[in-house]
Amino acid sequence: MQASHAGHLPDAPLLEMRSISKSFPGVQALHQVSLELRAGEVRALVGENGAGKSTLIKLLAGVYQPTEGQILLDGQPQLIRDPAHALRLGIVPVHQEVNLEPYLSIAENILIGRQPRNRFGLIDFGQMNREAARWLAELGVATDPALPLGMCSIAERQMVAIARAVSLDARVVIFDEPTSSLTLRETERLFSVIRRLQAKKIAVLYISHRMEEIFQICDTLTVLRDGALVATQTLDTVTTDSVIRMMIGRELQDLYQKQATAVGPPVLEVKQLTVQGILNDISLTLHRGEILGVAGLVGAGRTELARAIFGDLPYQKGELWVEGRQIRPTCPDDCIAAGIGLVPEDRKEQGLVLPMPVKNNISLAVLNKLSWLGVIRPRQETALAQDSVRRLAIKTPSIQQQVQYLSGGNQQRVVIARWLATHPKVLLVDEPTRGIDVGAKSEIYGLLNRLASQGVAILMISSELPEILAMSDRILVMYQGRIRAELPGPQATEESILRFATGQAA
Amino acid sequence: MLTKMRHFVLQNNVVFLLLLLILCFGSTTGPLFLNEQNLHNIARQISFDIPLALALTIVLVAGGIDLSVGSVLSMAAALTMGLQPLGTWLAVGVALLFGAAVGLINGLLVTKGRIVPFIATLGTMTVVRGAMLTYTRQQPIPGSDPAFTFWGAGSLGPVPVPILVVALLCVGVHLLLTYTQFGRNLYAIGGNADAAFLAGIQIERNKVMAFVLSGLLAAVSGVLIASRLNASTVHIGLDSGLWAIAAAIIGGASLTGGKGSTLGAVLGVVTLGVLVNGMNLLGVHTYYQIGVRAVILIAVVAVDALSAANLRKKLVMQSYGNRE
Repeated sequence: MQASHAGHLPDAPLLEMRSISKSFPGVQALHQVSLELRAGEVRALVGENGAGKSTLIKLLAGVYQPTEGQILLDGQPQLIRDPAHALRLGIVPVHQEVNLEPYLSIAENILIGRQPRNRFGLIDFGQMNREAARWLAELGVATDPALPLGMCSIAERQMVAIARAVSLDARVVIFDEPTSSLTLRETERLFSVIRRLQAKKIAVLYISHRMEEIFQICDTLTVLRDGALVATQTLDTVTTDSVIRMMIGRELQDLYQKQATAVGPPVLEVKQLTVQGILNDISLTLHRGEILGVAGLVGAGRTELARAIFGDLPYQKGELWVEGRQIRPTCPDDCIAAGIGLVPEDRKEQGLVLPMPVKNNISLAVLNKLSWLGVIRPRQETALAQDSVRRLAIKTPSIQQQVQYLSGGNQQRVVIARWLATHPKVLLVDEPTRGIDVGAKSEIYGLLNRLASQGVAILMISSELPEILAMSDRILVMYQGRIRAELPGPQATEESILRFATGQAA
Repeated sequence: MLTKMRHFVLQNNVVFLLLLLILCFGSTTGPLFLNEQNLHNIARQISFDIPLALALTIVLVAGGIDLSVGSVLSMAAALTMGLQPLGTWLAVGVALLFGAAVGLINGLLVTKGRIVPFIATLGTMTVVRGAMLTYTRQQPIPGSDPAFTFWGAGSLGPVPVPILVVALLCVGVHLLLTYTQFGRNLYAIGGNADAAFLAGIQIERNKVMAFVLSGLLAAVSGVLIASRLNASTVHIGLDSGLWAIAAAIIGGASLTGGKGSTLGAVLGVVTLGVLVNGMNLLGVHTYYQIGVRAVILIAVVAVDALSAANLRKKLVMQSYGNRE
């Protein structure tokens, strides 16, 4: 690696991805993406959720291998076998938390696996702390390297991860949303460190949703959309608006046409809901038969809003009203009794009991109604399951099939079926089509539309803007725990939503 | 029914293991193994282990573990014998209540105290063991009511009474796990506590109940053994807890929760029982027997873990593929 370092010309790309494609069975995550990074360049990588950014990072970090195409480092083709190999090649992703040991000191985290030894073969702590301090000083950080990492702030942990990268002779450093939990001053410090990396001829790949930061720190910008490269441009030739236009531009409306439904009286009212540090003064009204879309970037507080309404996140202030009656939920059970259902964000972690059969997953929230003196009436349970499988067209060999063997779309239908069995007045759906292929998506949309037309009030959280736009009667845009805008569904555009969601407009 | 049976056999490698063992011992020891008296012995022996395996299955299904069952068993036996002069059934009642109370404490430590089940029940295991040694002054306690031996040593016709008692327990636990809301809640909690909570299930209350049942079943086992021996000794229950865990896991329960069945637990106990009996007949030294049992346990868990890992791999591929 050292030899090749001396050999490469300043104009030749340090890292090159040539027509990279990556497909998973049934899904094309990246299609013919080419990208060149030069030494000392800071490159922004932008795109909507699902555009293929994380797949691209994972290919560079050795988590996945490309289906087609080549990755070249210093003009040499490299097959990056695994994350350890990527590190040896000098490609270092900087995550927060990951790869760091909270109970070890900063110095040990920087020099882990390479701690200096004294003549007895034991770790030489004095030497180790001095070396670590040197690496930190190179980044302009003056933290005491003997402190345990667990006592450090997120920003300091990031610095530790960067110091480790630099000490490992990094060539390419990848940042994935590095500022999402940093204060303004910490962000400034991160940027000065990135400039130092730049001066050391390290190439930086910077993934962020925050436009103003990209314009502040990056030289060039690559836009991905739906797994394909849209453009690579220098930042002085683009504007926020032109970047946002490049990111969007999908026409999915044809796939699912929103049916006009008669919006009825209010069903759910949320008044000044506040969860310390997460949700700030949220008020909203959800009507019978309405689909209310909630848009926002990762970390804007959308999922937390749903969990607070569903009694899963205690709130300090605010009121919840369902059909004119106030509820004070302490657990989801209280909300279910009030007629609320939640289709959670991660159906495998929060939605389904994977080793249980389809039947048992469907009946889980209504066991009370199906039981007599605590004994489940098997015939009624089977009838409910068979009826749900038929009505929601769940494809499964039998209702006894363990739900873990179903496809994503069918699993999601099982979760929805569970809530339909409760005859909900309000259905909170969080990322209803995540990880589901296009055909199955439109069926989920059709299902949600049908529910709305039957009078269910639906609060739909989604990161996919075309989905929000096509499905919602009204759209709330959240940014940093607040509702920044309420847009009428028909008039909203991806641009207007993104402007509020990125904090561009207030 | 046939497909159900095939499904069960495929899910429970233990059945093959059991058949293999029987074949092995049947062919090597011949009539020594396969005669009525010996099978009778096996049945009587395992009937004392089954309640513990049931206890562990219930707790494992709910995603917990209970190390205290062996100690509870020995204390329940001591109470049954020690209090017998005050009244046979009073003594039995106190013993059963004691088991349920230890289970309640376990459950509260795990839910309210937020202590992991392994540590919480390791603690109660030690405390109860100490209490038993104190209570008995480390002496065996002989029984004083000869009629009471009917429950552990008597027979109804050709069938030993403890087998009948245990069969009733098995049916009860099976019905509880399979047909009641409580049983279903346990599978859901052990399978995915987050999902169960979001579906409105009260996690803590159900977990506490699982531990109470576990303690109660352990006490039942203690009462039966006391009746069988017409005495309590300080040695009973010493390693029963670990072997009950082994039997439950061999029977298909999983340390990660959400899996396990009554039939599996019974088969696990039978497998271990046949194994011990066969080795005895073959004259295998006790010390080697311990090693063999351990190897079987590790092998079964390893097979389980490997097939689980394969399944996970398949699922990961599927989740990207979303085959419709």
